[in-house]
Amino acid sequence: MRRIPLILLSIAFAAAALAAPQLETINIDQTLTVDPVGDGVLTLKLTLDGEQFQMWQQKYGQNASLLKRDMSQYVSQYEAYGWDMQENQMDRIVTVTCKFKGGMLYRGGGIFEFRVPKAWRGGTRHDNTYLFNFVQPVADGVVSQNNVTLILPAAASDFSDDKSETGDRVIRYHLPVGGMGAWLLWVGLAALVAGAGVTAFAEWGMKAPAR
Amino acid sequence: MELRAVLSYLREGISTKDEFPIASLVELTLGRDPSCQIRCDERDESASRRHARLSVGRRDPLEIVLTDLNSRNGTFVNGQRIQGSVKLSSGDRIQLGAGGPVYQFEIAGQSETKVVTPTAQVMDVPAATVVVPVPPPPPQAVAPQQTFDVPAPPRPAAPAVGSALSARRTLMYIGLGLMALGAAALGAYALVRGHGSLSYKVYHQRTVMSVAYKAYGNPEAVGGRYWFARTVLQNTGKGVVKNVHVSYQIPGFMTWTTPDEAPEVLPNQTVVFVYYPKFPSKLTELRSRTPAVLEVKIEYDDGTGHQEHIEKREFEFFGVNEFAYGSMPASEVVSRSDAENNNPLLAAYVTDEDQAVKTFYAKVAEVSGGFGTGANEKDLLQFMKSTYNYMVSLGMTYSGAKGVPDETGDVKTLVQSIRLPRDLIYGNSGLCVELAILWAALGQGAGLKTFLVLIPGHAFPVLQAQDGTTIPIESTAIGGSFGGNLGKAASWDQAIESASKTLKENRGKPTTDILDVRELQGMGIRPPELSEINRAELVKMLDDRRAKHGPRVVVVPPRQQPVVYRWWWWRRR
Repeated sequence: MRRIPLILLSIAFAAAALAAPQLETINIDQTLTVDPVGDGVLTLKLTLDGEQFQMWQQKYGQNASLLKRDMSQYVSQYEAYGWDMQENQMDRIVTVTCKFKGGMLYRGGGIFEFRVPKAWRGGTRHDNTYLFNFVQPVADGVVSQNNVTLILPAAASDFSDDKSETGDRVIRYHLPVGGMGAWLLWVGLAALVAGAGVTAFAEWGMKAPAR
Repeated sequence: MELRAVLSYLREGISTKDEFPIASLVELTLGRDPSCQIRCDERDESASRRHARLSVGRRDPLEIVLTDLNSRNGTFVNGQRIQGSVKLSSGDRIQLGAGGPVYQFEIAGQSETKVVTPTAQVMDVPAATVVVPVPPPPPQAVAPQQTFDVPAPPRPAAPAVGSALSARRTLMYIGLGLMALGAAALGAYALVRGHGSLSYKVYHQRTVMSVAYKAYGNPEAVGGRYWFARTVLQNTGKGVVKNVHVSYQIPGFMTWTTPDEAPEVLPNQTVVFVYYPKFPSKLTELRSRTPAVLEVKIEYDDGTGHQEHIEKREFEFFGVNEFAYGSMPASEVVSRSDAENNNPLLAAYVTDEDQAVKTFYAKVAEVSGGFGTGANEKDLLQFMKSTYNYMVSLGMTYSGAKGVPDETGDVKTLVQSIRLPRDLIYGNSGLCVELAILWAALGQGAGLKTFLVLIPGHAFPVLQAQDGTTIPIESTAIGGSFGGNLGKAASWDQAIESASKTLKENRGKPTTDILDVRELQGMGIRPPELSEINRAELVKMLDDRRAKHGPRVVVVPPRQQPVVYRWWWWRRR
């Protein structure tokens, strides 16, 4: 999802950036869960310290719609909707979720493609789950430690870490498509052929011996 | 006396008799097949291979039954076609098919025939010896009578034929059933499948600020926030939509782009294409608002053929010196952050690579005898003080001008004329935000981090050395309308104190926006390409201006050193 949290934090913590030679770290866990047609859910979990949490609240605490509008700008490559924000003040954890459409490009032949944002590093795969992590400056003296979990459809197979025609990093995978429609097509054709064969055999291949 | 069934073959004078002892008779088959006990001429097409069966229905009283074996041409008894089985009486005439061979059936009490064996063809029939009728003799000749040995036990000929027919019929039914199932499945497939249907929405920016044209063209700029147009396509049909292409053009400014492409879009799938136009640098030549039209061409194949739609959206290019602080619909604005969501684009005005800015910076260095690389507090103070004094010596002034409320569509915002630093250098006066931007451009050139602090109705710069020393300055203190003292410049100390006080009062407020220029430029909000200048002319102009106004040195009284704030001070207060 590009640099959503980074940008948000950059804006929210700009004041801190005025003077912060010490390195501060913000832990961000991102999870993207994608369904077979490329729709899905994005979850961002920000673990903040006391001051960061205060800044966050100043910026978005009383204006969640601003957060939605800001974030919508940054997830422009998807059609995002269903925003929600939960603040756990006890542990100073902010969880932002949204649903999205248009997460995958379908290349045909059952091949789907996920474009990996440039900032993401790593990409360890376990079954249908990819794990990325990267550190990125948010503002002067503030860096984010990002752990990204990308969960692809359970039925996906033949994963490959590849390049798109424009040179961007993509993850391709295979997923059976067609569902009921393809099933009906193949069953219908098979039944027609088999029926015609059996009928022809009965008509011409089995002459009545008594006639 | 032994009863016998006698079948006499009758045809044009030919007469052959076949006799069978009733006692051992179970059934006889008539037809052309060699296995038949009563075999007619192979060439006689009227008779089927296994045409009819003659059997003993009951023995006491005796009842002989004739059964038609589903023959092609039917079995006739005394000229009447029979259906199924009929009981025969002595003297009945049996005909195998219309025009076929005719036999006369009789019950005889004593054999009147002689046994013919040597010349007859004997077929090996299990448990029975059958004498096949000798081919018919020439006409006029009397055919020899043939005597048959007991043909029992009967062969299961009829059941075999029945089961074969039954199997064939069953197979036919299975085949037809499968074909019907296939047709039904294909019909259902046609219903389920159908054609694709592509619905789409085009979102676009109503205004484009020419000065920040690079930000709109960079997908990575501030996380892609400044996209110009988005096309959201969704396949709402039942079939696949293929070869989806989306391209854009802005007549007069940009020709059709290379299309974004989706080879296939599945039912219910959504595809989003975001457009980041590579605007030409000639946009910086626009001095006032210029209406333009975005055209979006959407091509696809939905299964019914090639489709093409062109959507048109109107928007405006702002002049290079026009800045709209917000782009959010009025109904959505609830805070200053909403009303001024374009503030980050101010970083595009910080043209530290502009020749005019570099020339100005060089003159400051020349006049002050040079300064450090911005590594520490000393370098920072030296640079800031030199720059401030040089500006004062030029007679540069602050000229206040408020923004003008503007309305574009459902967007209501403040639009202000903000000139580039080079215009300020040539013009020798500027707004607070213009002076702050000039300071930021010069500070960047000196290797410093720079910030623009925006508070309601005002803006000023903050500069930071590499060691974290941070100093704000009231850039409007150089003279003009600062503090209501028109034309008088404040002292360096006053300029610093004033800015420090303002920052202290406003820092942390929701109405305060602090822009990290280097960070924003690093994120892609880059300054525009600018035309060449005549450097010599600019140098002469600056020298002449300085000579005219004189070196108005602002004296900093002893023990009144500028207030320097450490990072911990900023954080905790």
